[in-house]
Amino acid sequence: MNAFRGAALALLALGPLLATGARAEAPVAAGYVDGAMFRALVDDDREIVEVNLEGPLLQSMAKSKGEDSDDKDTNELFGKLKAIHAVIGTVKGPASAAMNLVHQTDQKLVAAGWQRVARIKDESTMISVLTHTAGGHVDGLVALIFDSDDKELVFANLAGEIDITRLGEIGERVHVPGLDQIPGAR
Amino acid sequence: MTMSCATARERIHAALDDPEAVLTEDLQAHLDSCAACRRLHDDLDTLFDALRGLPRMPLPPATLDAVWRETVGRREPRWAAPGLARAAAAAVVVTAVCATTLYFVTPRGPKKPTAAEIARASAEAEMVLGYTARALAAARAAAADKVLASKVSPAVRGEPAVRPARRSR
Repeated sequence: MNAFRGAALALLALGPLLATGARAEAPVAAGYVDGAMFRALVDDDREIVEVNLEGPLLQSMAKSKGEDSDDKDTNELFGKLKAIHAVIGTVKGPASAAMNLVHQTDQKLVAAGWQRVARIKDESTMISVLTHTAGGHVDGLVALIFDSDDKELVFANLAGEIDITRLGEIGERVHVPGLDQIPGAR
Repeated sequence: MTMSCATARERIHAALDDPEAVLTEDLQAHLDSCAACRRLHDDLDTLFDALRGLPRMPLPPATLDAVWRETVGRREPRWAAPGLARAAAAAVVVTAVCATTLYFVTPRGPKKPTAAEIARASAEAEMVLGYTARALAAARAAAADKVLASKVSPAVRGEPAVRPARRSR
């Protein structure tokens, strides 16, 4: 057989392998929820906070904190997380559309096997917290908050091993302006 | 049986090539009886003696190199046969193409984030944790309010506990 023809055949044989390598992507974590639909709902002309933090950066954050005991708690929490995604902003268009999306997302997640930790709904506010469990551990959390009065929407998704109790303790120590205005929060 | 002249001449050359060799009896007998072979032996013996008496001259290195080039160095490598050479070239091309392709399709390791990126990411993560914790707190507060309103307050007032209304199907 002609040697160059042989080389061409070898390349053809290697093709699928190379294509597979090119397509290889990181697997999606079980507790991950795509927040693209909420991002599309938020008004670009108003203040938006979009957070997309994944493994390597979270690991760096976990290693970069100080020696303070509070920092160590936060370190440990970050070290076990695989991703943090959030969209915080003001909804464009009618508030009822956002309220419906929050409601539908809540129901879809429940249908997909997520557990609803809390759901508070009154005339103007909806707060929904859902968790995903695997092997007895919480590996995903979604917090949905929408206030139809000021049309502010919060979608937050944490993927990875999560200790809900410690998350609450750490989160309450964080001083972020405006957090106290979340309906129902004390 | 007497030795032939051809065999005798071979034995003469072999005996002269080895300075320590001695003439065998059958060769000596042939030389005694054959004038031609005896003359050959005597001439060669004289020549070899004369050659051994010449002074030894060292071989110049340049000459040695030239001899090496013209003999050993001129020998063609075994893989230089046309078919093998093409196969080797093809293998080199395939390896180069595969290596280049793998270099471009292999995902690179993550770039190490800078201190500023880490600080910004930490602030963002803490904000998300804050919102999540407040949502959990709001859920806890709402649940507590519900228990107070439906169980504790009626009990304090001596009223029957409020049962949640059942949904009609």
